[in-house]
Amino acid sequence: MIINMARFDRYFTHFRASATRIETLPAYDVPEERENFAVYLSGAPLPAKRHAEWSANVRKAVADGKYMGRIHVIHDRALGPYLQYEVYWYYDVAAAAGEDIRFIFREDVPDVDFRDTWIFDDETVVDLGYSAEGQLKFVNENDHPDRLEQARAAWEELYARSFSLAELHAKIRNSGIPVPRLAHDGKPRDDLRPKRPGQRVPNPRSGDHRYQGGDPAIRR
Amino acid sequence: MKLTFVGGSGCATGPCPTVYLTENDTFVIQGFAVDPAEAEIALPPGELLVEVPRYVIENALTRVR
Repeated sequence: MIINMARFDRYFTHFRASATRIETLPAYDVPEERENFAVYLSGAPLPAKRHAEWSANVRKAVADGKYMGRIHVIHDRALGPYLQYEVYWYYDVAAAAGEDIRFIFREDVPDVDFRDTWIFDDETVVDLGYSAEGQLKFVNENDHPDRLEQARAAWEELYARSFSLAELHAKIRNSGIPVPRLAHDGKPRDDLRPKRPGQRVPNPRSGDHRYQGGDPAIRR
Repeated sequence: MKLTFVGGSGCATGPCPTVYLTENDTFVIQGFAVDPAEAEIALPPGELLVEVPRYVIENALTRVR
């Protein structure tokens, strides 16, 4: 059944034991995020209070003994600009709050049938439908027992072969993973590269880097 | 039965509601199964209820008109 956002949101505060997410796309296009993404690409300092609402919910859930985890599938063994933004803007903050954030290379799971999914309490499967450009189009709660088994198996298989956020940071530091500086449209961003060491790069969108507050409403 | 793809949900990954055209000038719809009891529909034998996002149907219609 296709569910509305109010019902979808309820799961994040009402799950009893676990909430697990599989993310399969190299980039998500969320209108509420565009300004923040531009700030990230500009090289401006990251706002300290970013991702606060989500992380507060994670902290509360973990304090209550619940588990929240996610695995992001990385394509072409490279960390594209959007995924870099996710790591530094969201994942670092949520991981500090207690979310178990993990990664896997697409090439390492050619045999697993996975989708963009949330599983709540190991019993409720919520599939997320996206356009090719990464826009969320609909949210479907699929209560077919076979889909539950498939989604559970996907989580277990991906998890078994995944690596942690800390390991991803180690790969980045050790140049074990390419981190191309590219724009959302895939073109090289010469304008974002400092012209000489230490030179500040202006925000292409505006001169104001103040965080506006609030988390993206839908793509979690 | 030969089906021609008309339009879908753009499912690069994930769920995949889709509209197909048949050789008989009818549509076949791939969607999410709906329980007739929950929907309070008295369903005749041999019929099924499926749910698809509104935009999938709207996009499909603009392509066949």
